[in-house]
Amino acid sequence: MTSKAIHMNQQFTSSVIEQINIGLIGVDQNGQIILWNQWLEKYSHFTADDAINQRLLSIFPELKNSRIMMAVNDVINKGFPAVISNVFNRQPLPLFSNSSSTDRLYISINMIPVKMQDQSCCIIQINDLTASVKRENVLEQQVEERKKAEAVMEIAKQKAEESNRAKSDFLATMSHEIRTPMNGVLSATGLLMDDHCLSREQYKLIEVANQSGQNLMSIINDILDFSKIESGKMTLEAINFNLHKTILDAIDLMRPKLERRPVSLEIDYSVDCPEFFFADEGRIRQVILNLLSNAVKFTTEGFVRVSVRSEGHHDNEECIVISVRDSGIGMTKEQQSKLFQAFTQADSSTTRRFGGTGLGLAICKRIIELCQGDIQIDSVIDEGSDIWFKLNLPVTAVNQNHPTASIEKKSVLVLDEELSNAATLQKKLSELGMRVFRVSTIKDAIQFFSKDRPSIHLIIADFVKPEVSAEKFIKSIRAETALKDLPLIILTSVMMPGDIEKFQSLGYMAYLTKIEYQSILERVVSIVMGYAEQGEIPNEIINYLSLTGAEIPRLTKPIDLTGKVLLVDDLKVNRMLAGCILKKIGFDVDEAGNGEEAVEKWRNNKYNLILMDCQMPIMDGYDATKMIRLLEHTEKRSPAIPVIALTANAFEEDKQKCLLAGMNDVVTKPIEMDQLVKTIKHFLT
Amino acid sequence: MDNRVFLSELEEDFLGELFNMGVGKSANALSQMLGQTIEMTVPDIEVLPIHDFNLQQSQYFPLCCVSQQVSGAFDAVSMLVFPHNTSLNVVAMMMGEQLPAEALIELQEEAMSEMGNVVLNACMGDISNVIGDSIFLELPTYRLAISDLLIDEHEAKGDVVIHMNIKLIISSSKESGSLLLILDPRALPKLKVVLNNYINAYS
Repeated sequence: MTSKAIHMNQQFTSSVIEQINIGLIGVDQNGQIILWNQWLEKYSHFTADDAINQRLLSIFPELKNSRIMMAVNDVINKGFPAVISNVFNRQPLPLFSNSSSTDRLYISINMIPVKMQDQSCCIIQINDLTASVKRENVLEQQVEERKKAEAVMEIAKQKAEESNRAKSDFLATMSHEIRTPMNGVLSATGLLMDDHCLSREQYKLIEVANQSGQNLMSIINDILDFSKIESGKMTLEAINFNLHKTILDAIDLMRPKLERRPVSLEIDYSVDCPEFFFADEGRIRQVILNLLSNAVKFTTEGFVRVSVRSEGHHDNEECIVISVRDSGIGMTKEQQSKLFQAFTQADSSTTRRFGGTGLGLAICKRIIELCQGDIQIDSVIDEGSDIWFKLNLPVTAVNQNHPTASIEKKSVLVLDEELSNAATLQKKLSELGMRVFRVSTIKDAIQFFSKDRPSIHLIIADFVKPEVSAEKFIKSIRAETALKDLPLIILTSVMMPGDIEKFQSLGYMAYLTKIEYQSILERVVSIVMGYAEQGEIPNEIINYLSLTGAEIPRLTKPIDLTGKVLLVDDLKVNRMLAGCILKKIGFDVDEAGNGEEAVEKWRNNKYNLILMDCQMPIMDGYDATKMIRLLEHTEKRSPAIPVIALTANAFEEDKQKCLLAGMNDVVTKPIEMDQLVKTIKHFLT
Repeated sequence: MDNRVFLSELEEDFLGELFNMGVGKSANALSQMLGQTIEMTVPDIEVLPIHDFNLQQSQYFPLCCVSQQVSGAFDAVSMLVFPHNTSLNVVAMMMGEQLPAEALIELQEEAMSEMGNVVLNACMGDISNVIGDSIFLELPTYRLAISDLLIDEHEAKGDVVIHMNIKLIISSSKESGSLLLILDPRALPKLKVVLNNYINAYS
């Protein structure tokens, strides 16, 4: 290389050294600085003139005994390179972002040994990491903040879960606390209703008490339902049902609430609208009852009318519009807008005047939405309200196994001792195209036939005291040869247990209560006439239930179950009521007041079955069952005794808890005889 | 398996002792640097042809490796190797503060480079002293790779590996990694002579 080339090379090298964007310090083996590039001049507050020939420690006295100085020594003396990272050595040199700044640079240092004229020297190479460290710090800060936010959210989530748990616990407790006394009311009235010594009046009163209790239970269930809807846990169940009958039932339940106010409760069920559907009857009834209950509550005079009409059908579905209209106090637009919100009432003053939770319409709206329907309100203040909902419901055919006949121009004799009903009945039958003759006593009826004996095809009888008159009447009729096969329909205001069997054995062909006949009169009459035309007698008495396929309630027959049952419940009233039912079934009953007592009795006696309450003092039903299962295992007692839980808690998780404890099945309180018998039968036969 | 005996038991012990001194010194240096007690030991040593050597059970296991090229008395590559996760733990413990994983990954390369440099410098310094000949080291190189990739090039050359497990105790937690010296087989006799000179001088 020529001297010129060498010169150029040196110039180039020193130019690179000065311009390069890293710091370069050269230290000779005596520790004196021999190189200090422009980068260092820029960031160190020292010029090259200040630094050259100085010792590193004179420029940076704080480096005494530092890792950097040790590393420099190692590099010079041993010839080993060194890495001084920013990670373990934060800002090890006093280098600053500009000449006036006090912000130190974040740096990493590499030290490389070099030989210069047989001298071991050290090149200190400084890289500025400030930008990337700041980026990292921001990242760390963000991570930190995210973690904090997550922690806050976690706490909030836990709190929410806790409060949700508390809410569930409250609902469970409330449901239990209310169901327990209701159990007493319903069981007691239920038992009374089975008592055949009651007069019809007494029976009606007891039935009202029982019905009211059941209504209260359904209110509790409504509250539970609302929380279910809110948590998205509500499911729909579809059954075959008669919408007309459902509405009539609902209207009937509302009558006592009118409290002699001059309000007429009406139904307008459009003739072209089908009656039988496959849908969730319970939920639809719930909505209708809610709307009716509001209408009745806010109407002091005039009418409350349920109208049902069809808006056409698609496939097998009918678009049904059910409207509940009243002539009550009405609502402003603003009140209407808040109407379907939970816990909201139209006006705060109405809460005082009319009471209520404000939950009803919110439930209605949610149920209708769940059924894919729509609910709306039209209302004018002081004129009344019309709340209507629209649903697409699958139509089902009525049980068509019975022969039917045309009833037009057929003659019917109506024997109505109460007169008041006769006009309505006559109107309805006339509308069906029948010729109607009316009499008001059995004597008149007999006379009617003995006089001119017109050609009568059917007799409908409505007695004030059917238990007395029904038999007397049929005997008189059947005594006449000509009237021997005349079809007879009996009407009654209340259906008593045993009625169906009694009227069938007497020879009545159909049996209807007055609520029912309005909706299915035509159908029943034509079926009865069909049998009459064919000279047949149906196997079973025709009634509403047999037409809708529902199970017919029968007089409680002695059930073929025997054995010894241990009944465990801490409440005496519950033991008494359940005991009555069990004794009626035919069991020998032993009682225990808590779980501990139950385990003790089970060990010392032989039982066929245990009915176990869940929540009891001293030892609860879960623990008692677990104990029994454990003892059965350790004492090798077999077979395992069936334990049936009695619980007022209706939640699915309660049932699971029972089964987990080792119980075999669950019967919900209030105890219904049919359910209990069915469950017990499963385990004892 | 190559049946050649590369180093006698005594030579291996002696070499192991040298490395132990080296890592001991580096542990001291790191302890001072970080202001916390760090212990490092090399409990065993093996010398074997690199094709018989497996760094990890799984060849796909990610490893964090700091290597420094050695030249002078003999040519070799010195390596400090930790499994990736272990190296993150080591960095976390050395930092002595709670850092999010994202930050640790950012710091991993720098921190491991410095640590590897300190450890490898100390070990090679001791060997250099013993040999009485100069050893030159290059600046450390950091790599994150699966085990096969780390030693592939040496396998092709038929190198020999001196492998030591390295035990590291920081703030009562124990981690282990590997210390490797991969060298040309021709350098081995030279190493043996040097070791034996030293052994004889002391026995």
